[in-house]
Amino acid sequence: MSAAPIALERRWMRARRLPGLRGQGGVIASVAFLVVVTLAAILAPEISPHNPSAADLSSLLSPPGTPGHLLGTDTAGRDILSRIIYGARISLLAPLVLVVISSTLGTAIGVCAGWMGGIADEVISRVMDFLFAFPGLLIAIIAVALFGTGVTAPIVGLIIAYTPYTARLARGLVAQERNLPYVESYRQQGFSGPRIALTMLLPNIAPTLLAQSALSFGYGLIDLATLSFLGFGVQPPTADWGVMVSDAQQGILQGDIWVALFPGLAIMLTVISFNVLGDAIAERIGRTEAA
Amino acid sequence: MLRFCARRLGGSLVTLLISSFLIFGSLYLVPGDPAVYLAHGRVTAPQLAALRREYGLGQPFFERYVHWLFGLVHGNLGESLQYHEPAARLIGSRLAVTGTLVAYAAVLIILGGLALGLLGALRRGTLVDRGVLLFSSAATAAPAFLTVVLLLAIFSVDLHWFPALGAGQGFGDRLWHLTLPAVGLALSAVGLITRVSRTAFLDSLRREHVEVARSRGLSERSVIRRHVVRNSLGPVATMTGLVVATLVVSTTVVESAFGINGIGSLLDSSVQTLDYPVIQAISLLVVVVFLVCNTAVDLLYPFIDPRVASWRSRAA
Amino acid sequence: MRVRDRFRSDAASAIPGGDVADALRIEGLSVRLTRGDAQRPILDGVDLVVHAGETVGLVGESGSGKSVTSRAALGMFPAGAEVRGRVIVGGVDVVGARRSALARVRGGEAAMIFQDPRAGINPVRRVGDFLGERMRRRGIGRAERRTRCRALLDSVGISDPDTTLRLYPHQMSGGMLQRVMIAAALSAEPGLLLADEPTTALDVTIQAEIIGLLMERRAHSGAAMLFVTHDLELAAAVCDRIYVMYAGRIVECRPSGSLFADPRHPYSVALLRATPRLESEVPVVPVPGRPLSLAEAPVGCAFAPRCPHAVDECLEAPPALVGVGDGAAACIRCNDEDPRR
Repeated sequence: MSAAPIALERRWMRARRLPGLRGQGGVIASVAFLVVVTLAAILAPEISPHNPSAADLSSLLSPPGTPGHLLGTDTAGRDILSRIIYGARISLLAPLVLVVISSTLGTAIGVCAGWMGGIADEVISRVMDFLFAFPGLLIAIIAVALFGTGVTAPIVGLIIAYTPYTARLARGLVAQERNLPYVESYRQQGFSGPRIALTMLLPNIAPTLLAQSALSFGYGLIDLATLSFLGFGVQPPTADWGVMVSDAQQGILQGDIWVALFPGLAIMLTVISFNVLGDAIAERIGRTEAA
Repeated sequence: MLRFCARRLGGSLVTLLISSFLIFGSLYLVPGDPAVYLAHGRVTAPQLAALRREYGLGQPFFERYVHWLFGLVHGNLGESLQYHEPAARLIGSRLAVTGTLVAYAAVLIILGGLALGLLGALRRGTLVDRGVLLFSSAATAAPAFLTVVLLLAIFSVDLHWFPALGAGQGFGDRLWHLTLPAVGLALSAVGLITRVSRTAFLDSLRREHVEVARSRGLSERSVIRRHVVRNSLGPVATMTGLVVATLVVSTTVVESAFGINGIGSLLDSSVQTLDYPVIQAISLLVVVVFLVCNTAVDLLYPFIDPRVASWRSRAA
Repeated sequence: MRVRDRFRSDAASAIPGGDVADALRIEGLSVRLTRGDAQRPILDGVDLVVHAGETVGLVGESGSGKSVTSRAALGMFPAGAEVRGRVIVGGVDVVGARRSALARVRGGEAAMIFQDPRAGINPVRRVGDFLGERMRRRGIGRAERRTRCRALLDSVGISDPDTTLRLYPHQMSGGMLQRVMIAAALSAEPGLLLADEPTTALDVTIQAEIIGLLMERRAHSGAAMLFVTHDLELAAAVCDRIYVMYAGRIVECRPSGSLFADPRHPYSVALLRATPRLESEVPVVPVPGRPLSLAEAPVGCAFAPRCPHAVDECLEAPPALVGVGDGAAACIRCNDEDPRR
């Protein structure tokens, strides 16, 4: 029996909800933000005040609040708000594609490895282990070097980099679940292995994988924006948040921060929203992999 | 103990070998003729043939690989297509600067992460803790390139506290020049380590041996130092080890923004000029850094937590 | 039963009362936890005395508040606790005491032996580190610490002190670690030892050994001891006087011999009857219901819902301690003549 004060203290501590971002309000705010951003991306042509490529030569690098340009203009005279709205399209679509493919692939590989165990598991795990030695950004850079700039190569590279993380998580979960009594009882009833894995196991591990995917979206967004910033991903003059920050570097030297700040804020708020969502899902089910 | 070292080393070498195979083979994933790729198309037929001979592209794959490996062991990391210099020399000359930058960032990450994590844990639930968590969320969500651009704008261009360009000469000057880049490089990881260490500290604070120490009349400061911090170092060490290799790649962003002539900017220019041999060499370097860091953490771990028997490897 | 008479000291005083040289005096101790608006009572008006050199038992089940009471002697209360009453150790009232006064009590007047030595000793530091921590704080040099630690380990029956000092906790058995814990408590040369279920976490085969060691060392040092346990029989074997706790209150206080032979509070009776005993053929009678904590207790006597002798009056107010035999019990019917066995 552990001493009463410690047990009490634990209970007392648990009663305190962690305030702020982790509270209910944080989740609602995050979901709201993501909905807004997604809608903005989809409805860009309708709601954008200007054409994102239209250069207003009379007001280069004008500050936020200039009439007609709520968030100001960049060094080429383009409206920042419009570019952010249009930029949401590629800036959100690319990570989405990345996460959907890498999560699906990773889950498939991980479930196979975890379910089959033995040699297959060993081999697959070893292969995944090697990929861990390469930072995602590096693989993406190599992909760009081989296949050229644009959005495809980085996505392919990052898929290769992200899949092992999901695979490792899925494998661990399946290996654990496999030993639980309900799986054994299904087996005895005559259900085939793959059937059990797909219809019974998957739904049980799906929430954890979902939480991980939410976090991965954030990482993916950052990595892809980084590549665009470096000039390896989305190319200017396409509106993309990473490209916008890169373009802003000129303006920085003239002392104007907002050109970089607004797209940067868009990135950060999106990533934070996904992190909050991911954490909320993880807390719900009580376990996640420390990314 | 010795057997453990040998096993770890052996494992690392295998990983290195296979990684090198992947790096070597990646060239052949190029759509089209690797020779044309390496030559960037601006050559004549005889030059192409010469290139093919030089890279042994006529030989069977495995032979090429072994040949390349052989060269590696002798310090030949290939020749830069851009500079026409050995890649090893290019990297070597830049190692000091980037090394200092990464080390600087690592120190900031460890110290900053531990300090903030401890602050949050000791003041759990208060406004200070909320601030710490908010900071760590924002920091992990801030891409390095954004941090760097904003730091430049505020502290360099605006306030003139730090220089905007270059890596400086001499120890003190170099540190001054590398401060903003190091912060830019480190910020995201500081957020991560803050979170990890805070969790570890909270866990340690709940342990009974902390209560026992207090009951024996030790000052709160002693208790925290000897029984809380000391017990929480494990997860922090592991995380930091994993993060360092990523730092090296992130220098690509930081160095180009600050005009530092290091390995990161070399990688950047190599991609732009499609200088593949250099890209391969740097990739190898990154893998080596990753393996060295993780092996170091594994070897140090029994000192951090004696319960981990030194002849058993930690679960990955 | 044979063990009973071995280690009693000669200190007298059956009824709790003021005495100048008391090692521990708890007066009207009430503790409650505040969580936001809610309040959760833990202890209600606990009075307890341990005279110098005495061994006093504190017996109760989980939720009775016995651990909170014992920790109160060191001024250690649960986080967020509100405390009323006095807890006087070596002349110092630790309730609301200044940090320096508390440090004096914890550093030398009183020392606790915790239940689980594996949890209580820092796993990443050497045993020698643990043992010498208190000395280090007092500024004693390394060589001197070494010598003293060696002597301490020797006194608790550890045969190879030098090697042991360099070991880590996970390399030692539970029994050995508890010996270290006892040595650590004694290193402060305290006037009051607090033993919180010191053998519950150990294998049955070494429990007797450790108890024996504890009693021997205590007698040697002359310290008083508050022995907290859920095992009434163990308490009777080891202590001079016993306090029985239920739902945050003291319900009986008697010399151990009399308590064992003739318990007067229905809960004490029930506790004894529920303990399986090897020698006797008497069937074990479990107590209906489960032990309550103070927060769950009804108005009036907390044991009333489970008590076979309860009457309506029992639920009006918590019974005060009344003299009975050579001690006291908190029951309005304890002096009644009805046969109970």
